[in-house]
Amino acid sequence: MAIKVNTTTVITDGGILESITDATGNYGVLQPSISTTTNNINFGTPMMNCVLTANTTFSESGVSQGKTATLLLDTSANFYTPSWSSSITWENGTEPTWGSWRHWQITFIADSASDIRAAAAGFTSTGGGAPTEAISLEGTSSAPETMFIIPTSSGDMVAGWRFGSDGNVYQYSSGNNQGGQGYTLHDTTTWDNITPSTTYYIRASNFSSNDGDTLSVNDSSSINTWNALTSNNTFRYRDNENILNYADKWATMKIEISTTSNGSNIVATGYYRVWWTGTA
Amino acid sequence: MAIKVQTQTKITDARTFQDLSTWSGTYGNFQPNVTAVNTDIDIRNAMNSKTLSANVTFTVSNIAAGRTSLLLMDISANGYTPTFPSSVKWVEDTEPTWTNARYWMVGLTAWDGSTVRATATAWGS
Repeated sequence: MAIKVNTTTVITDGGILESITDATGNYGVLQPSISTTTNNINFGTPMMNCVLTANTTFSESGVSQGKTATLLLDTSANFYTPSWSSSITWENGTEPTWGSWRHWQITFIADSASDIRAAAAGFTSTGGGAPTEAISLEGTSSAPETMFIIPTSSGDMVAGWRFGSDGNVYQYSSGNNQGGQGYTLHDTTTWDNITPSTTYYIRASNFSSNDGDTLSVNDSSSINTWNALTSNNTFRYRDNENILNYADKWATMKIEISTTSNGSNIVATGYYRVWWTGTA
Repeated sequence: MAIKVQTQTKITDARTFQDLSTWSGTYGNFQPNVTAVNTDIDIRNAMNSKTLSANVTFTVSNIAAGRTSLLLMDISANGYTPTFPSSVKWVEDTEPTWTNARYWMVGLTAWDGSTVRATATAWGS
C-alpha cells in the first residue's frame, strides 16, 4: 500500500518517491535514471543521452532556476552538428566547436527560466575534425561532366543526372540502355561534401545539344525552376528515335545551386552532359 | 518502526531510504556520503575520496549508463601516480598529468555499461 502524508502519496506502490518538497540528510547509492532524447533538454529528466542522426536543433523544457541537467551527446561517425536556443550561454561566451570531438558531456544549469548556462567537455577525436561543408559542381561549359550511354533497340533511351537530398550526385541510365541499371552513385564530394546542413536550391536549364535534344519534362524535376534539394532532383533526356537513324548525340544541361529559394545567391555552377551513341 | 510498501522496507528504523525506484521533487540540504576508496571506485557511490600512499591502479565497478561519481583524490606530497582502467576515457583524449598538481577532483560518468568518460580538475601544485 502506498504511503501517504495528509492524503498525498509520497511513496507509491512501485517504490517511487514523489511530490517531495524537500529532503535533508545524506545519501549514498542514489543515481539518476538515464533518458534518451532526440532534440529536447528536459530538466525533469536531468540525465539524458542522445545519438545524433542528423544536424539537430535542441529546445529546452521544464526549466526553472536552480535546475541542472546533463546531456551525453554522441554526434555519431558523421559528426552531425547540434544547435541550441538563444537561452543557452556557453562557458567563456564561446560555443564549442562540435566537429572537433565526437562525444560531448554537456552540463546545463538554469540561472532562470530563460537563462541557461552550459559547459561542455569533448571526448574522442574526430581525427582532424568534421569537414567544412562545401558546395560544388562538376564540368564547365567547354568541358561538361559527361556520362556515355549505348542505347539499344529495346526502347527509348532515357538517361540523366540526379542531385540527391543526401548531397551526392548520381547517374541514371534506364534498363533500355546497354548495362543500364537505374541510379548509380557518381560522386559523394559534390554537390555537397557532407549531408546538407541547410536547405539548398537547384535549377537546371538546357544549355546545348548537337541535335536539338532537351531535357524531358516528363522525366525530370521542374526545369528552369529553383527546386529545394530537401528531396532528390533528377534531370533526364529521353530519345525515342531508332538508333539506326542517327549517329552520336549529346545534350548538356546547366546546373546551378543557390542558398536562397529565388536564386539570389548562387554558390555553384556546373555543366552535365549525356552522350549517347547511334549506329547511322 | 520501518516504513514498508508491500512488504518492502522503504524507510528503515535508522531513517534510511532504500530500494527506491525513482525520486521526483526538490531537495535542499541533501548531500552525499563520502566513501573511502581503496582501489575500486564503485560508481554507484556519488562521492569518493582517496589519499594515495603509493602508486595505485584503480578499477571502476557497477558501471551502468547515466551513473555519475566524483573522486576527491590527494596524490600526497610524494606525488604518487594513479592509473585508471582503459574503460575510462579522458577529456580531449588526454589523461591529465597527475604530478602537475596534488589535489584532484575526478568526475566519472558512465555512458553505457562499459565506457566511463572522465573530467579532472586540479588544485595545488
